[in-house]
Amino acid sequence: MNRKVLIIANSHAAAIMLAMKEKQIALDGSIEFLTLGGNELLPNLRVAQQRLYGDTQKVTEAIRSIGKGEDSLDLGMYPHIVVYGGQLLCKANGNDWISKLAQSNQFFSSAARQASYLESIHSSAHYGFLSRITDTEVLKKVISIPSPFPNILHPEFSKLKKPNIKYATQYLDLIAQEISQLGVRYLPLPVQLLAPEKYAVDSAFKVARPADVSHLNAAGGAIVLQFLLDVIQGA
Amino acid sequence: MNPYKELPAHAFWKLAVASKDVAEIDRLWDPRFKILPAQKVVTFGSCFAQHIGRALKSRGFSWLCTETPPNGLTDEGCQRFNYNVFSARTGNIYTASLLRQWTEWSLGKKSVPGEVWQQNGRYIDPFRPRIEPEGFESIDELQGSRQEVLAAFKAAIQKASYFVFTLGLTESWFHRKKKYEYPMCPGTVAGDFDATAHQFVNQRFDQVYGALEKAFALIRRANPKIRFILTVSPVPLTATKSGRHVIVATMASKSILRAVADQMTTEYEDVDYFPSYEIINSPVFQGAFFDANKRTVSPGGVGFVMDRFFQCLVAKYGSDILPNVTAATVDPFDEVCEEALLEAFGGEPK
Repeated sequence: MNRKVLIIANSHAAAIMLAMKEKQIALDGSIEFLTLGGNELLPNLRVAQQRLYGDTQKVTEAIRSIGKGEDSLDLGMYPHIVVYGGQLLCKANGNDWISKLAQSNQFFSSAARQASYLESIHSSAHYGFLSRITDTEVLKKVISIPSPFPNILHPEFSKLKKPNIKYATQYLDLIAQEISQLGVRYLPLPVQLLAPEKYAVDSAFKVARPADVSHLNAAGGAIVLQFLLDVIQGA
Repeated sequence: MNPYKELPAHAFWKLAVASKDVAEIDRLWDPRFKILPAQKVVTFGSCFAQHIGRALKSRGFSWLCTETPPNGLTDEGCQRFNYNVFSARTGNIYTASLLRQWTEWSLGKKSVPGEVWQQNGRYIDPFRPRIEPEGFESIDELQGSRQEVLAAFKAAIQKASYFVFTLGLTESWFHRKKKYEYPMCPGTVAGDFDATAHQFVNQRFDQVYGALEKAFALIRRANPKIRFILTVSPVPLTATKSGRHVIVATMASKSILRAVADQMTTEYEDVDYFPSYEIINSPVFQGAFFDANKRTVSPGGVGFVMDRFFQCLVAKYGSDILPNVTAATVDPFDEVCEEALLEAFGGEPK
């Protein structure tokens, strides 16, 4: 692949990297990662005049590590910028998504439910970063993909009463709508990742770390990577 | 020798007030109950009650909310939709008779009237006219929400160790024929006023006392171990329909409420009174705790009152009743994230 892709992601980048190594895909430097664990990266990124800046030392160091030692990154080099994860859809090890599913059987007024969905989306680091980009040339290159659902092996799923899928779907549609309104291309999670219940990741994609029910393994990362490459190459 | 000789310093104005800086005035409350952090406290009543719930929560006590907001709603969103304001979304329960009404409805002693107001194509609950910022989208939604709040109010009664109630008003509005009460005069924030249907009642001592006694009796029957803490809202009336000047009407109203609270604590051992009203309104404090409108209580005033609440508990029961505040620890999820990245990227530059 000769078109450079920048993936800006939190720890969910790990699965993609593992997939690249395992399947020997795009190890030629055509995919670059700007990544930090936790929630420091996206809230502290800033775009100005097609360059990406960090607002904390740690984020600036991450930029330096891929930007040839420079404190900012020239986004003009990348025809595609993927923003992946960053609490869009799922936060706190997937617990908030499971709470939403649990509450899908609870009564709320449509206005309160809608407000809670919008506030969840708008408070995510992912949406926050995208909404701060005002440069339409940069926005046109951005592809947004949410954090994966938690794995179906998450212990809370076993306690969950059958959720009302109508509300889960409403939330997913709202994410797509809100991201698209920013002028960004939104991609939902690839369906191959999903468990038969459709609101969790299939057990086949759980990482080996026992307590980690949030991150994808290399096989899951490969599905996300292939999905992205198909979209990019078809672009 | 006379009966005053043996009294403690706080019984004398000179020792307890005149000789002290106002900030040092203490022992304003002799709490009847040892409220422990693990015991569930519910709060209802006039607007000042919301500060008590918030203060309990922020100090690590178990403020119980039985009608939780949808996941993801921010604090601002919760305020807008009246979640986490009181222990259930009742809105303000200004009068003792409204408390009795909510208790009767939630415990199934009486059925909720079917009255619904319509405004700009939305539906308003006459018994919580400001609960939804834009009103409900349908009658079904309004009634669903009503069932939800009644169940939550009942759960609050059944699960709580302490029921905190702030008495706010004596002036009230009733449906003339059907005898149920509105929290606000129809036509003010919503609905239409109809002089033939809506009746103003400025409740006297006996009415307030009777309603409160009845409400507490019903609550006790549902939860025999529950105990009550009364407060009187220090916030003056916004407006009076009594025909008197609003200052005079306020004083009359608050005096009745204060007397009812006193009578309840005298008559019932499971009822206590916390003097937030006195702390805010005493001339000793020279109105310093009010906002510029001389009506609403400033955040500083609320803080001062709630500090006294906890100080008095500690003074009587010792500081070991205060919850242990644990130091912030590293979020275990952050560690999981770091591990995931380390495994994938190893020592390679990112």
